[in-house]
Amino acid sequence: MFNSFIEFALPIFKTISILILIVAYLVWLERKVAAKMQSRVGPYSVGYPHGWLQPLADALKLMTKDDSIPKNSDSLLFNLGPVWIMVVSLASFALLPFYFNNPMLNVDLSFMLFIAISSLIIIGIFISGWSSNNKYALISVLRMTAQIISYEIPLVISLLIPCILIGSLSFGEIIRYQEDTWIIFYPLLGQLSFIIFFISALAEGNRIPFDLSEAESELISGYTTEYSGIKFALFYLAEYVHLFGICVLGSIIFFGGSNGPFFSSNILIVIKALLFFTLILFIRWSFFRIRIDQLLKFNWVKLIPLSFAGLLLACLLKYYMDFSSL
Amino acid sequence: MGDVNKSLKDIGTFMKLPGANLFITSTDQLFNWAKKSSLWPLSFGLACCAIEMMATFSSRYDLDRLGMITRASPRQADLMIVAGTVTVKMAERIKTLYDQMAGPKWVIAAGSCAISGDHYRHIYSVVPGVDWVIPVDVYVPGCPPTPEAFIDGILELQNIIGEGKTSPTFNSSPVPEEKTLSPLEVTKPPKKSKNVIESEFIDKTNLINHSMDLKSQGFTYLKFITATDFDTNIVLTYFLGNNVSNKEVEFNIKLDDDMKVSSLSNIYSGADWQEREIFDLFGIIFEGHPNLKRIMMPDEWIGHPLRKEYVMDSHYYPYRPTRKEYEKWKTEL
Ligand code: SF4
Repeated sequence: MFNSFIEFALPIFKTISILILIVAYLVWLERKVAAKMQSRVGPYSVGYPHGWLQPLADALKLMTKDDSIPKNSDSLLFNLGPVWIMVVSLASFALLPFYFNNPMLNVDLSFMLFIAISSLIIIGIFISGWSSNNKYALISVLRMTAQIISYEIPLVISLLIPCILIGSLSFGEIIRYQEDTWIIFYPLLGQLSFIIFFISALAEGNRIPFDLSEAESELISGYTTEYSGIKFALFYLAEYVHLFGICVLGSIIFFGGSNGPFFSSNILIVIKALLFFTLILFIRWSFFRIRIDQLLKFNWVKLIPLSFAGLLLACLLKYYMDFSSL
Repeated sequence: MGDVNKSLKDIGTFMKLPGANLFITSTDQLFNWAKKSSLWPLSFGLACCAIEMMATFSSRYDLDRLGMITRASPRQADLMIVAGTVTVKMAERIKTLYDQMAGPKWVIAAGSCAISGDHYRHIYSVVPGVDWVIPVDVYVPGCPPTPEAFIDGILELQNIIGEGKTSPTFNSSPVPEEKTLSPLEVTKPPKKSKNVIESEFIDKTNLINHSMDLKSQGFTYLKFITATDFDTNIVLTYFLGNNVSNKEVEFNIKLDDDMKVSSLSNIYSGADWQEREIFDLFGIIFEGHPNLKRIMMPDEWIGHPLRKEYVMDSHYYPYRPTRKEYEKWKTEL
């Protein structure tokens, strides 16, 4: 019995610890890249080469901070929020073939399941903003809900285009199909769906052209305004875990996952995801923030029709290709 | 109570184990290291010193090197840098923000104004030093302190935290006597002024018609309204601008003792706040104003500070809260 428990728990433990390590250093990477782009140095004096102990110091400090719960807030939901977000964003990693062997859960519809799980995050965000009893948190959460629900549509549809071309919804199939050419090199449809995916991934991950829910000059720090100490650390980590999940998804669906030009290994997924993350960082530190109505209008008027057009094109293409090959 | 005693006893037995002291000291050191290596300041600035603080955060001096990033929410901040002049109205907000910060928390008072009030310390609206309101750990002198001084202050604070002084205590220096804090004494009555403005004066009953006329002639922009206390009477000055022909007109009104004049805010909506300011500082009543309340001084202020007869130790007291009242804030707020 004990052995079976170990067998069950060990891969979870391995994945989570590797993930937390990667994510902690993503924060450090972000601070370094931001510093380089603003011709600063970034974290330097905490830990000898280039402040490499900074994530550790931040985490330890957040653990020792007071835990404040605002008066008249719904303390059950208030405490549930960060835990929910963290659990959901870690759970979605069970489906990704991201660690050195296969995914922990191998199902046929793994792509659909991944999307379904990761879209539960918004519930955690909503309850934490709602239960804070703070007007800024509430406004931020309303914006965030509108934004994430509407950007989920182009995100899913743009990811369906490669899936239709490949004819499968499982990550294993998708990776196997791309052994010769990656989807991003598929004429027209590959690039179109990648661009739509990229824009909606920025909005999903709440990054700068779309970071309305954390607009510091307007909303203090959005739905995390009332959180201190370790709960805030959970939010902070979960945001990066989620974003990293989206990066891994992009690297699997568009950049061939574990297939590389010289060798094939699952470590390539992580490397590609990191490169993708750096691209997102460059965008984050060089763009401005857009207004909420512009954000929604851009989505409903431009992105969604475009992604549906791409979907239609992919269906037609698939139909005639199958037809001619009969 | 029994539980507490039992757990104290447990700690006692734990401390008798070999190496327990070492363990506790080294975890303490670890957490102190973490606290001092990731000080997140509240993004918050008051006056000219704040500009220099921003310069310290940005490219050339870069406090991110020391692991400091600003947080906008007080719940997540560890450090409050009070950079600038603390006014009476702001002092309450500073106290609130300080209370909202989750502990352990530290305060740096930067600049002579935050330390002692500097050259403004005798002005009716300025608090002579932020340590009247909240406890301060490190004082950084200068007007404004240079970025190097800021960094020095932060390193000093890091030393203090590293030594394990985790919770700052209130500044326990003895409360100064009332007398030393009383404002400058005014011995002579102010001189009568003979200065009279020669430009156009209109009658105050004529104000509305006159400005309606001017507005129909194209003077659609109210540049400003101001008031001057000439000791014998108060003169209101209006400046209107014409954005097409680029001309401006000026006219004045002499006020009687009743200090009443009709409001222009229905004609020029820009007059709204300016009239409130003049009401606040001079006590002139604008009849027909939609919302004539104080705008700069706290609501419960007594007197109008820019009037000639406003002397700081007059019966228009309180010119500012006393040390005792600040001490009361510390305990009550
Ligand atoms: S100390 Fe000097 S620079 Fe700083 S707020 Fe006062 S007057 Fe301004």
